[in-house]
Amino acid sequence: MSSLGLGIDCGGTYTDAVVYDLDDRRVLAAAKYPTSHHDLVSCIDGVMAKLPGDLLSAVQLASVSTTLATNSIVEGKGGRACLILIGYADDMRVNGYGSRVARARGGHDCRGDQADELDEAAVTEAVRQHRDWADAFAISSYFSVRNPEHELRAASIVAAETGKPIVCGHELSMHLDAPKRATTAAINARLIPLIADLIASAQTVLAARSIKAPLMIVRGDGTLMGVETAGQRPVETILSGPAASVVGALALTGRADGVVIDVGGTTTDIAGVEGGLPRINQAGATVGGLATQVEAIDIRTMGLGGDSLIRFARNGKLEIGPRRVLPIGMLPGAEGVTETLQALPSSGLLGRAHELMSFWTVPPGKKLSGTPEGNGWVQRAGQVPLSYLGLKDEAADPDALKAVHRLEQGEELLLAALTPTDIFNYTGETAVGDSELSRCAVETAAALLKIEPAELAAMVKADCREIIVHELLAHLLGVNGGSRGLLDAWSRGDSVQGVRLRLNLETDILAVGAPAGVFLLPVAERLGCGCITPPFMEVANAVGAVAGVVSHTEEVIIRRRIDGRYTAHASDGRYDFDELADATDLARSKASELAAAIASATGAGEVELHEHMDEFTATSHWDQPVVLERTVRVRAVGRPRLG
Amino acid sequence: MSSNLASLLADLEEERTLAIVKESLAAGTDPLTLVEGLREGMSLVGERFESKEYFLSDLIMSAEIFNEAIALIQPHLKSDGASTRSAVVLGTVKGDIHDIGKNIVGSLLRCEGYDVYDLGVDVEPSAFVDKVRETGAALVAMSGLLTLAFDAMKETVESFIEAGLRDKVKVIIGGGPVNQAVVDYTGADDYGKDATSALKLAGHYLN
Repeated sequence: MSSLGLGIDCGGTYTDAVVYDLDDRRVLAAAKYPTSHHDLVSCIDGVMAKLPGDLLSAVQLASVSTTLATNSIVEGKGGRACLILIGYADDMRVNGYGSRVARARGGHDCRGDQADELDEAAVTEAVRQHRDWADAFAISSYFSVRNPEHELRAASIVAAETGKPIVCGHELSMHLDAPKRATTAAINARLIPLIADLIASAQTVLAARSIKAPLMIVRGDGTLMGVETAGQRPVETILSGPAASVVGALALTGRADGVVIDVGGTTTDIAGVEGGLPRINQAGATVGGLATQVEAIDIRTMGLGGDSLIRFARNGKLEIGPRRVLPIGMLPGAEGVTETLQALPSSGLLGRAHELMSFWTVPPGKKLSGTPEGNGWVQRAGQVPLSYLGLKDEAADPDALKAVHRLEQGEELLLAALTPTDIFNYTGETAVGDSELSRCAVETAAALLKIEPAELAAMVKADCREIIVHELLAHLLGVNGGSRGLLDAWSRGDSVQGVRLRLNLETDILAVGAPAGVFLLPVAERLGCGCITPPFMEVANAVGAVAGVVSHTEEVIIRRRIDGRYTAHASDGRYDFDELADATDLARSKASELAAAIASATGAGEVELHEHMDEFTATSHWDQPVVLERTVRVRAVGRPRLG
Repeated sequence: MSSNLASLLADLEEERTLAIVKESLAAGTDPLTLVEGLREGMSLVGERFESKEYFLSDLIMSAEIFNEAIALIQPHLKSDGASTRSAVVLGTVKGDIHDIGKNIVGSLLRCEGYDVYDLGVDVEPSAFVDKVRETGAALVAMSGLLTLAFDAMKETVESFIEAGLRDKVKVIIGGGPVNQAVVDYTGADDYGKDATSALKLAGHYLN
C-alpha cells in the first residue's frame, strides 16, 4: 500500500486540498472551498469535508501552505514582542516592526572577535521591564553570524527570567546585515502567537477527523517543516503559497526545469526553477515594503487574472487589472442583469463603458453588520444586483451611487463587471458560471465600443498575452522599470535603429491554476516554447504542499586570519586552527552533522547529504598563492517522516 | 606649459618642476592647468614603471614631487563650497601600510574638489564604517598592496553590509595585485589599476 499525504493550500480566493500518493506521485482526490478570510480553520475543515473519508483516514502526512505570515505582515499584525539589540550603534536605524526595542552593549567584529563586553545587567533589566507585556523576545547581536555567543548568552538570561518564546537572529539567517536581521527576528517573534493558534486549530481539525499524521507547514522556499520548527520560525512561511505552487507544478509535470506561471483570479505569479527547486531571491524576501532576510522564492506578481476588471480608455485602448471584481457571468439573477445590459444606450459613451456595465451584489457568506442605511442597500443587492444606471436614476436618493461606492470600499458590496473570464466564456474556451450572461456582457460592451464582439474578445486576449509575455521576459532577464525599450519594440514588431529582436524561450512554461491554459497557451505560442497544462493544475498549490521535501543547508566559512591562522565560522560557534586542512576537516564534519541534525529535527526521515566547496586563492608577484577563504556548504535533504 | 611640466615631473626633475609651478602660479596661470600637467607627468611615470624603465624608488620619488607640487597649488584652487562636493573616505586597509598609491589618489581627488577623508594606513574595517556614518560619504576607496589586504578589504565590505550601509556607498579598491577576481571576492564595486583610473571611477560613481 502506498503512503498517502494530505496537502492543503489556503489561498486568497480558494482553499484547495488533495490526497496525494507520495510513492506513485499522483493525485487521488482533490477539492476546492471558498476561503473566508480571518478563519483559516473553517476553510481547512470545509475543504476536508469534500474529500473521501476512507482516503483521509489512511493519510500519513498532512501539510499546509499558508498566507498567514504574508498577510499579517502586509496588515502589520502580530503578537507583542520585545527586541533586544546587542552592540548596535545608538544611531543605527532598525525597523522593529512595532516591537519594543531595548539596547545593550556587546557584539562582535567581522572576524567574530568580541567588540565589546556583553552588558548582562542591561539585558536582565530589559527582560524584567517587558516580560509581562511581551508575548515573545527577539535578540539580535552585532555580527552574530560570525559569533553567536552574545545572542546565546542573552537568550539564556531571558530564559531564566521568563518562559516566553525566544528567537535569536543567527538562527534565522546566516547573512550579514544587522538591521535587516533584527527586523526579521522581530517579525518572527510577533508571528509566533499567530502561528501557534493556526497550528493548534489545524491539529484540532485533523484530530476531529481521526487523522494522526504529523503536520507540516510549507516554507517560502518550497520545502517543508514540522510544526515544532514552524512554531519557532513562522517568518519562514513568507511566500509559502507561491512556493508550494512551483513545487506542485514540478510534481505534476515531472519536470526539473521550466518557468512556472500560476494564473489565479486576482494575480498571476511567475517563478523560475533551478535544478528541480524554486529559484530563491538571494537578497531576502520583501513583504509589504519590509525587507527581510528570509530566503524565499524569487517571484514576480502581476495584477492580472481571470477576475481582473477590464476598463475602456477614451482612446479606445483597454486596461486590464489590477483590480479584481466578480465576472458578470458569475452574477446571480441573470434575467434582470441581461435586461439591464440590453437596455444600455449604444452610442457616445466610449470611456465609460465599464462604468455603465457595473453591477453590485453581496459577497458570499456576507452577514448584515453596517449602518441601517448600508444594510438597506446590502439587502436590496442580495435580492437583485444593483446596476449603475439604476442607481444613477434612483429618484429617491441622488447620492445612491456614492453610498454604494462606499459600501464597495468597505467590502460590504462586491463589484461585478466585465472580466477576462467573461471573454473566455464568450469564446467558449471556458464555462465558468453563466456563459450566456457573459456572452450578453461581451456583446453589450462591443456595441458600446462600436466593434464586433469577436474583435473585442481578440483585443482582450491579445492584451492579456502581451502583459504576461512582458512580465515573463522582464523577470527572466532581470529587467525592471523604464529600461524596456527593446522589449517594447519587439512587442510592437518594430525595429530599433535597424535592430530587430527575435525572442525564443528555450524552456517550457509549466501552467498552474484553473484558467492557466487559456491565458498561457497564446503566451507560449508567442515565445515559441511549450506550455504544459497537467491534470490537476488547478490544485497544484495543494499538491506542492505535500510533495515537498525537508531540507536544511549548513554553511561553514573558513577564513585566513591576519596572523596566518584559520578560523572556521559555523552556526554554533567558531573554531581556530593553525592549518587549513584541519579547519577544512572540522568544517566538513560540522556542516554535515548540523545539516543532518537540523533536517531531522525539522521533520525529515532519512536524509541525503550533498556537499559543495568553494574557495578563493590569492596570487601575486611577490607572495606565494594562498587560500584566503574556503566555504563548505552541506545540504541535507529527505522526504518528510510519515506517521 | 603643461606638457613641459609633465615631462619635467616624468624625468623626476624635482627642483625644476617646483620652480615652474611657483613661477606659473605667480604669473596667474590657471592652477587646474598645472594639476593637469602634473597628472600627465604621473601617468608618464606609470608607463615607464610598467615598461621596467623605472624602479619602485623612482615611483616613490615621483609621488613625493607630485605631492610637493600639489601642496603649492592647493591654496590657489578655488573652493566650490564643501557642501556641494561629494565626500570620499580613503585608506589603506588593516594589515597593510603601503601608502604611496593611496596618497596619490587622495591628492588627485582633492584636486578635483572632492572632500577626501584620508584615514591613513592599517585602517580597521569599523573605522571606515564609522567615518562613512559620520560624513555621509557615498564613496569608499580602499588601497592595499599585499594579498593579505584582500581579506581586510572583504572584511571592510562585510562591515558595511552588517551596518546596513552597503547600498548607500560604492566601494572601489586599488593596489598592485588587484583585479576583477579580487573585486568579486571582496564584494567591492570596482577597481582601479592606477591613480588616474581611480579618479575616473570617482567621477563615474559620484556624478
